[in-house]
Amino acid sequence: MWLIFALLISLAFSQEVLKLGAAVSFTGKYAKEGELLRRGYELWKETVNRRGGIKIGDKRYKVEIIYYDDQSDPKTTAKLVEKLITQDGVRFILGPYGSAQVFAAAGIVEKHKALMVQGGGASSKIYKQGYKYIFGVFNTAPDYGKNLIDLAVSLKPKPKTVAIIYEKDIFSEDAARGALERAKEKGLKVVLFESYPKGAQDLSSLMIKIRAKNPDIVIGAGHFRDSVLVVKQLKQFKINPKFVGLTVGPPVPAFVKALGKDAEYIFGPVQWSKAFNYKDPLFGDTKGYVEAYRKKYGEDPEYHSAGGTAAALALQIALERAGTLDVEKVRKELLKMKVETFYGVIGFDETGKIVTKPMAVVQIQNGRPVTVYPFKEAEPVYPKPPWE
Amino acid sequence: MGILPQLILESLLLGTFYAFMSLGFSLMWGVLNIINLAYGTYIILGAYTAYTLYTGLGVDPLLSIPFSFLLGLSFGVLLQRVLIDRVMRLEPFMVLILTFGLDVFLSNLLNLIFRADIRSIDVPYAERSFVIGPVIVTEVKVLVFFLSLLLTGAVYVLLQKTWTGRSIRAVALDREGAQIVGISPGKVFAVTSGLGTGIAFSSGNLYGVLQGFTPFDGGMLTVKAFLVSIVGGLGRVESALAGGLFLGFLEVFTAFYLGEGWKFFASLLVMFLFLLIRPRGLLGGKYYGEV
Amino acid sequence: MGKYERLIFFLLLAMGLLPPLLTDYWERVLTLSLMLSSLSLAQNILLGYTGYPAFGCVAFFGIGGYTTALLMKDLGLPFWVSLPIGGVVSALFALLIAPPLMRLKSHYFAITTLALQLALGELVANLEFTGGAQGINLPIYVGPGGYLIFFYLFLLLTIFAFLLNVYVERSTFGYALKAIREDETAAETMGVNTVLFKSVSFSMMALITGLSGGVYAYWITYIDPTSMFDPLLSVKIFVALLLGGVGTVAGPLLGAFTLEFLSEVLWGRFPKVHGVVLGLLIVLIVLIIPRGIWRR
Repeated sequence: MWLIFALLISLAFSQEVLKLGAAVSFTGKYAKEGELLRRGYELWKETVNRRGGIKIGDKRYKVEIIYYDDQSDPKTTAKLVEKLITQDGVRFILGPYGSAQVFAAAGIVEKHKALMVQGGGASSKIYKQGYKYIFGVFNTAPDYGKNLIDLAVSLKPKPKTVAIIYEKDIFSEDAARGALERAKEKGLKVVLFESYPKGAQDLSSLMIKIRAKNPDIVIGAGHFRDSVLVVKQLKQFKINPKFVGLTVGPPVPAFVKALGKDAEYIFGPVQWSKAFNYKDPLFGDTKGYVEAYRKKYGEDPEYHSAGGTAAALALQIALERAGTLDVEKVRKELLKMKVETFYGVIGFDETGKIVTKPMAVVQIQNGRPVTVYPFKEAEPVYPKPPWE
Repeated sequence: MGILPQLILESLLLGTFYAFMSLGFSLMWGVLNIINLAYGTYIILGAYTAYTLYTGLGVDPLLSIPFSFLLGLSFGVLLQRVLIDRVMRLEPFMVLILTFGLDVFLSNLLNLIFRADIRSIDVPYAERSFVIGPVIVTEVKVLVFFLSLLLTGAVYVLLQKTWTGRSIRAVALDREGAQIVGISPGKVFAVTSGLGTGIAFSSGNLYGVLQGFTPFDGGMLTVKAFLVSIVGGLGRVESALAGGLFLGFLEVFTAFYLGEGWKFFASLLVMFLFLLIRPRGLLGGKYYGEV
Repeated sequence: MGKYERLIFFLLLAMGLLPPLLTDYWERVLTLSLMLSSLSLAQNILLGYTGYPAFGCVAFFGIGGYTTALLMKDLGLPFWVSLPIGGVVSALFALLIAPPLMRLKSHYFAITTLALQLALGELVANLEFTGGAQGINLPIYVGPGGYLIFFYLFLLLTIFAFLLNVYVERSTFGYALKAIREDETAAETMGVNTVLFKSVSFSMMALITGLSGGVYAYWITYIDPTSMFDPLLSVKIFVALLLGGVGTVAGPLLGAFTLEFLSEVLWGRFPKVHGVVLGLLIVLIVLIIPRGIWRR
């Protein structure tokens, strides 16, 4: 009996624990996206631990992640990240979901010279602060809008007018501006470019405006909840554009669950899709990742989860290469990094943003998001039939 | 013509709902001289009641209005007896802080139970609408409009025609005088609080049908109820209607011409100016709440 | 200064010797307590001595914080210049709106200041140059003392606010304020220029509150309209005052430290029920000790 006990203790001590921390939205507006992000982190953690943990120098560390719920509120994120660093003694932070949250957390991380790798914030504003300790695996937000417009203008008959509505949030505004810029370049007429406040639950007055302009394309830049709301209200106001593109939502499985048939033929840009094909040091390749995810969660992964896994993976590789827990040295490894993973090639510029991977666009077809641009799992359906 | 008929319609539909929603706040303020900062969260409590009944038992939120009302009624009477009666003799701003504390407590309790997620009551008729000439009319809004009108009418009849209603008005006009003719203010306070809270809860059912909600939306609704009360004047049904329509037009037109983001600012600005310039309201009569 | 006022003064000075003994966590808790102390002491000048409850005093916290932040961020001014400007802007704004605002009393005054606070928050959220609803990140402090500097800044501010309270308690200026508190009409007939005195007392509150907001903004580095114009902070100031005792020089300090310790301990241990307990605490304090621990 005692022997077993002693053995257990020695086992427990033979492996050190590396504590990481993350403040993620489990409740509130970004609860859906937050949960997906956490799944990405958890899948990484379990896979790493099953392989015996992270090897840093000559020690092996078992990974533990402390989670807090930021309730989708940036000010709470800031407070929780401060708590993670000062109270829980965490030096390596896995990012929160949402650009505003990442932005809030970034200041705190930088202040304490901790290190954050994040796959949850895409606003380009994050990288314009001159911060040294923030790395991100998402292409910046304007790419969301640009990809949607690029796809739209490639379709026949060519659409002529576009309405862009966006949530007043650093990510969504950034994405909307990307769409606006590209639409102008491509000679589309922008009939509406307007914002609504964060947390708005009734967009009637915007819908009235869109209805009066009757545009060919409607781009909605917001988060999951906004996207569901926009679709419901477009239908409610009997607005039938030929092309509906929403920045966040369509690839998330809950999107189809929430909207049923109304989700059909809606477009959404993605940071990553399972149509990608790359080799990976931890999962073998993209297919291996998709299978591992399916096995654990019973559904296909989409980019919010993949982003989380990729961020954690980048941190792991940097830690292993640095061979130490010294923040400065790990940071140097991240800056040097150029590594192929299931998610694409990961490499950062000096501001900490990823510069080595493409984006794609999916469309809901028969209740499933399929990649239609620039890789083609299927042909895009266009123009979109009217609401039933 | 253009867009104007649509905007006017939206304002009318929304404004009538605001009128009913704010009636309770206005009554409590007029009769008890209490500015109840937890009022908005009462409405949210009603919305969650309707939500729970709908998702749990499949009861249509419009049918569960009586239940919400009764729940609110009992809750209001209880709160008045246990909490508010005790502090009413202190400085009025102490009651303000008390109700703020209550608001913090209730909204966080909701957050604990239901989490901070946005909930919506997705009734099957939620997305239906029809087109008449230049305007598009959403069915839910029309339903809510008629129900608000009906319920506001009911409150009007209650206040004007029944003995209870008359005592309420008597206490509002002259607390001491009412006491002399044999009305017990304590009882009237409890009834008013119950009625007011009941109105808040039942308007929550309507609110939940109109749009999504979270535990922390109460503060904004309190501001709306406040604005409606102060624009119209306190404690009277007619005034609440006037105030409600004012807010309806203010919100719809600000949102359309200045943008959604300015809506709440506009309400607050008007509220601030009213308080500075005409705290009695446009149609303000002689009520306890007078400065 | 009286005997016990001198004692408190030296206790505050002695707090300056604490930092070497503190962990990061306790440094944070004490810094927060000092911030709340400065805010409560500021409000005490107005509510305690003049009798006007500025429930929305956090409006000035926001004005001071945003002014400081924007001057640093957009004009590149150093903090030591931006902060005083933030305080002065806040005080001047208060002086400007005081005459019409202070015709209202009790809960009408309270609610009007609250409306102002919320309206300013919405305004900041909608304007472009303030960073909008997204908030702004301030430059990170890299100077002597590291982040300990903020502990000392709040300590200094608290001492300043405390001395101002002592002054009001002792001076003829303070007697005039107290006269207004007890009976404004009588004070006026006795020849007190009530509008002037009320306004000055209001801007004293706004000055300290604005400075506090400025220090807070730089300390916390990320600010947004909801955190700088937070009604929850307003109510915390009032609860601290009620808890400690309104209209005394020691009460606000006592209340602020008690509340912040309670709040942080709760927040650290049970972050989930923190809000519920805070709400309950407010209700209980109003019910049980509406006149505070430290009676006037």
